[in-house]
Amino acid sequence: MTKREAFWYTVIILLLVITVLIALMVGATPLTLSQVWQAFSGHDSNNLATLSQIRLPRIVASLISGAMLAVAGALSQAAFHNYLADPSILGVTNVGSFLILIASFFLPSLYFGKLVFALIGGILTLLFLTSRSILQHSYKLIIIGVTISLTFSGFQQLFSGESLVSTNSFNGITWSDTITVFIIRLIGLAAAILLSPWANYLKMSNQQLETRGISARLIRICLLGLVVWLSSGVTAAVGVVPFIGIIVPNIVRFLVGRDYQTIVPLSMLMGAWLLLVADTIGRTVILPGEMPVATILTVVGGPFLIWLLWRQQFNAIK
Amino acid sequence: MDLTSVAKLKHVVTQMGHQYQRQAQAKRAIRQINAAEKRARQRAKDQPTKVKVLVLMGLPGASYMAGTNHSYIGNLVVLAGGKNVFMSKNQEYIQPNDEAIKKARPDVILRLEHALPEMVTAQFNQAFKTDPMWKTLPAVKNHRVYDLQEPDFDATANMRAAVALQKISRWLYPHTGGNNQ
Repeated sequence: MTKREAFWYTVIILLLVITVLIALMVGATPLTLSQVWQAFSGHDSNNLATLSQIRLPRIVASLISGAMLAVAGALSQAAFHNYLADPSILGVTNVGSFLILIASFFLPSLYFGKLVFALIGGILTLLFLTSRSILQHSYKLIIIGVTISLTFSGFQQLFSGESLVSTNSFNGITWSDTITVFIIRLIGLAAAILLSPWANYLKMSNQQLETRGISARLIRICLLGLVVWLSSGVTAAVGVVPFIGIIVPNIVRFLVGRDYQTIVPLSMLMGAWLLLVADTIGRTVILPGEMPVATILTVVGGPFLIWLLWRQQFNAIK
Repeated sequence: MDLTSVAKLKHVVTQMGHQYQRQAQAKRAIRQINAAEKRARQRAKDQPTKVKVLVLMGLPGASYMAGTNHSYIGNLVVLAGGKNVFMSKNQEYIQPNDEAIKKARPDVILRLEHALPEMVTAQFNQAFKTDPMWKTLPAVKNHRVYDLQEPDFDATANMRAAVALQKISRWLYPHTGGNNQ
């Protein structure tokens, strides 16, 4: 680990700890740090219920979701050789979300049904996007991806039959949701760290890899499989959460360079932090109401994306 | 057509009665609504405290929103003499926060299930069963959670407004003249 990497690891871990503490304190009933401590040491059962049944599952869920989305973004960018290739931009999550809605007409409130349909949606989208004619041009990939994403979010509004757009949120998430959805996903995150050296291989050309006896195709399939696994888990639980997978890996790349063995774990930590910050802001700024985390991330992520495009001449990873 | 309150419904009915030469029918419909409003007022009049009401609107495939005093059901709650726990200056529906619901401690919960009722009711039942926050509320403890479905209830006012108001009035204040539960 270089000094620079160690520095950024320390900064992000510190930020995470501070943000978790703040997230425990703020809400409809604000608590001081000592009240939080008292509740956890068993002196205040009412506050303990708020903390352990409402705030804590939500904090854990947003941390893990943020980590999953950031890693999915980083791996997808490695596999597509394109620093804009994020599952939410490419439509992977929107197709999944639409299929979940359709499935829920037939199988209401089945979690595993949701997960299966989010996975199917993601896989179909990626199969389509990895077809040769699309992969050749990096802008084509992004434009088609964005179009798929918009088309399916349109379909979703059409089928939900409401003028009100249904918004997804971490509100009401329980421990059982958190555990069933995310514990399985932790395996995915672990796999991502183990596979991160593979992401580095893809910087070489296919011929170079072949001479070393490595199949670029196999690596790509494995990485994209992980991308779908991670992003569909979040979609099934809380819906489409955009932009994390674009903002975080690009900032991390800027901070520590291009080695995926650092990008992946650091993106994990920073994604967790960013989504927790966004969700904590969302649940406190307009009490008793909430601002969906997707709205906050769009407001922040949109301009970031524009800046990214404006700054760079083309979007292939060098 | 703006049908987000009973007053606006009456306005629209009067206008249409005028437009299509059905003034007598329009007047009759409005008399019915006025009578229902009066009965609801009387029912609520002698209550020592206003009941706190949470209005939820289920969204198919997603979660739920809270209806404020600007939504149609929220307006019925006002006319029935209840206190909506989610007030707003201009929005009809807001995305509610669990902690805020817990803090508000509603006595009655009205769940609007107008769009795809089968699916939305299942969603609500699932959420009420798995999320422990709901069990802490007086409304759930005292079994005062009501499902609002078509044809009597909808997201906007319809010609069954008088029936809808009467039902809500009875749910809010089941015992007239005495203490409410």
